[in-house]
Amino acid sequence: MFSLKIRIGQFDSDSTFQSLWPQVRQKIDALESESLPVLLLKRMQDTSLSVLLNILNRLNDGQRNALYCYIIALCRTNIHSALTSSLARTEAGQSIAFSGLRLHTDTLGGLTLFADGIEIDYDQLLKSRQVVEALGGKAFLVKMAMPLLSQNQRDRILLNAVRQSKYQSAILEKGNQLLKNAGIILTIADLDLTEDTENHPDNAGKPVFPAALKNALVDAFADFVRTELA
Amino acid sequence: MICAKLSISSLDCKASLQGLLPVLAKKKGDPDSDQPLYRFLGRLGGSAGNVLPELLDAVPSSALEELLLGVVAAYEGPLVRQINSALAAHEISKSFSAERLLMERDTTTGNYHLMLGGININYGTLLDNEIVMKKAESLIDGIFDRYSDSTAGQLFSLVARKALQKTANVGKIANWLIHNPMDRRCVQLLEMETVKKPLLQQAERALHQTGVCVTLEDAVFSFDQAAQPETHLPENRCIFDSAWLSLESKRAVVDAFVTYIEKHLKEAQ
Repeated sequence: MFSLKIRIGQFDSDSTFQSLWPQVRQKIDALESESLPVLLLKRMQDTSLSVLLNILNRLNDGQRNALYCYIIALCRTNIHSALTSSLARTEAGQSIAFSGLRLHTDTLGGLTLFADGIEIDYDQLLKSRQVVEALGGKAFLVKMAMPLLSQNQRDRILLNAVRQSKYQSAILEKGNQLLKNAGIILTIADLDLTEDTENHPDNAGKPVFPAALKNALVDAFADFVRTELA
Repeated sequence: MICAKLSISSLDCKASLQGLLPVLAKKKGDPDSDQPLYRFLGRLGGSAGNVLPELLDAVPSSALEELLLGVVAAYEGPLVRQINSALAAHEISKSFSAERLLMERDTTTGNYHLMLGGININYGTLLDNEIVMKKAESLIDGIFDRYSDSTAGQLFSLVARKALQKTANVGKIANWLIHNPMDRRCVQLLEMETVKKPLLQQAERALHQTGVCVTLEDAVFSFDQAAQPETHLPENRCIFDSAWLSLESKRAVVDAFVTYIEKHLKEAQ
């Protein structure tokens, strides 16, 4: 199994929020809470998106990143389905399965996306035209050798291949496109495929809304009302 | 201590909320609160004065009623302090200070009333008033009559009546009599129309000064036996998280707020 660490170069937070908003809305509509913020979000229809974007842009970078980590976690099932469907539409993609996706803020305040529990069906992968073309003259040799190799050896070959710079730009481009199809609009700075030996508990269960964000959102909302409406 | 149930003949919920809300926002609004509504109000600062009255225009009357009862509950502490200071500015009522306030609606009649509880009375100040004093005198006369069926009682009554002829002593004796049976005797005094009427007028004026637009119809005084019932909301609770507002009313308030946002966004564009 592998874990794919995707360092994000540019994150189009507004577009990502817009594309994920229907999913977030669905989650909000399903809430039974009678609290003021929930009732307010449920009631706001067409107005909500532009108002929310305005409010979110009043958060600082750290707060905004924390909010997006939460939103990705909230929508991870749908994002996972969308990515899996997109992968299934390509020959090479059909050989890839993964268990979870999570967005993290790193110590420098940047955003990193992780795809965990990646499993490769090598037989399927080597049937892909793109992979065969990429391997060129070595394709036949690799196909012949693959059944003789252990899973560990196969994984190592894949890791080495992915790390080769000649494949990087194509992978990055494909990655950008796949994520866009799933509603996450960004430009990947670089990615690193590593062996995945850890459990990722934050990939399961109900995500917890960061407590510190509650006050930040109230402040941003009040700032919006004070400066734009009152 | 006594409590007073003030029957309300007319109540302007919207005007009352318009009077109370800006003060509530100022008093309860805390930019550092962890309670979302109070933090929001605190962060709005002076702008709350522009937002809240306009918001009330869009709230239906059924929700306004519930909102007012909730606001009075949420605002009990500061409201009671304001009422007490308003009462202190008037004759008779200046001897009263309440500890609790609750606005309720009688579910059978649909009428509103205000319960002022834990009323402490400064008898010295109360008996300084001429109307109260005259009534106290007649009350004392009534008490003396009870003693007339025994020789000792007749003697006591005679001495006391003589003493009462000297006006300077009336206050002392009345004070003593009222303090002995304590507040129960005072309740009788307050129930006398000539004392109750000005007191009602002063209470109504005090409420108006606080922002509650009511007309008071009657007052029923009783000995307060309640052991500090929790009528108010704890400081950190918001009326939105309480049972004071029904879900329909919460939705109505939220509707009004969204209407407000949409209207002003359109204007801004």
